[in-house]
Amino acid sequence: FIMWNGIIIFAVLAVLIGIAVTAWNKKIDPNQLKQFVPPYIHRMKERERIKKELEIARKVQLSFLPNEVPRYPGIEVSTVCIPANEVGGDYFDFIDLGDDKFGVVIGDVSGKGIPAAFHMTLTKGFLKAQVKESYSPRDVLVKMNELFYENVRRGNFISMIYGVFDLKDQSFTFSRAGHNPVIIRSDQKQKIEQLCPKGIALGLEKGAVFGRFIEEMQIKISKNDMFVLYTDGVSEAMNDDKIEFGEDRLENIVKANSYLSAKEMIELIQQKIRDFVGNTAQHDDMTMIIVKIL
Amino acid sequence: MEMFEVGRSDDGDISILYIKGYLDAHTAPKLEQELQNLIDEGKYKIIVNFNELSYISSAGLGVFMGFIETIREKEGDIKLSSMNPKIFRVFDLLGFPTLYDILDTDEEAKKKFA
Repeated sequence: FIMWNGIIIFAVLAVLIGIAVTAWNKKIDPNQLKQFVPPYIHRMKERERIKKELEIARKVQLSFLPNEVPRYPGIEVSTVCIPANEVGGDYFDFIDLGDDKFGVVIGDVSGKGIPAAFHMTLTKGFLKAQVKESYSPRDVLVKMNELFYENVRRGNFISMIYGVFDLKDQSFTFSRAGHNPVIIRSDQKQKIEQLCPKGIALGLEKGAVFGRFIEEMQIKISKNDMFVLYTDGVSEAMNDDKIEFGEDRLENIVKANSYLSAKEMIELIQQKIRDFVGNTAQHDDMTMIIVKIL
Repeated sequence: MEMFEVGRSDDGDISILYIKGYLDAHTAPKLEQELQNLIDEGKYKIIVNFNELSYISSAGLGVFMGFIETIREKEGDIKLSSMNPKIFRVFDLLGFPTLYDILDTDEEAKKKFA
């Protein structure tokens, strides 16, 4: 009886050792193990890679936007730019034109995410090349329209405002290419207006109609005036009931809080938007520029 | 995904597309397909009726621009009708009324083709 058990135990051990030695000899190739990795692990790795690339793209895009506001005696500038995704299609910039003049631009590229970010970068390139050529906002936008129409596929467009503050002359001259109106609070006149000179968005038409239609407006600036430029991500911010924040709500905030500094105003507006939208996710890029005359 | 539908009716050589719901980057391909179908059928007199459209994004606006040149080259046009004030404001701010006929009713749009 003991002998049989001994033989059985020995046989089992021999088989096990035989398997171990065979496996060792075969030297299992680690590369072959890949085929045993489930597809969802591959997808996870791919998603990780894309996520990292988007983070890098975000940093690059941020570097194209101004990292500081213009500082001139007599004005205060505040800005905020919040893309809906990692990268966005809103653009804003300031241009030092010398002689106490500076240019302000705000733009909203159609679409969002990566394609919009590409077009935003192209727009910056075109604009920086144009603004030194002419002080006239109308001329700059006419040229921008031609360049954008020639170089970008049909269906893409940009709404934009380009304006020049002349601190010597105490004036603000601007043109509007299909963008939301500029909110201007005049302390002297004790009133608030939404200025909307005529203009078509960039990229909709080759140039003849664009050039004929676009207007250039000049207004005098005085102490305590406040200028609010924004993209429609602000006015179209939605709450859970699908109601939009709206231009009127924005105007009323500016009207009711005229004593605030540009920085305080921009923070207040952001807070009001946050309160309004609640938990609803941001669906469009949001940008604001506020200029206060001191 | 938000709801979006396109209905169609033909009145002689004029076709009317009825767009309903949300027109954005996700739903735009549906409208693009309908416009492409019309072009393939040689129907270049098109009215797009916005009566039941509740939202349009820039991707939706871009759809029209993508087709308008081809259609106008063939002596046709895309006329836009029956927008609610909110939708019209989106088009108006961008300057679309300068480039497209935007009418209150399909009947007015049809007259523009005469």
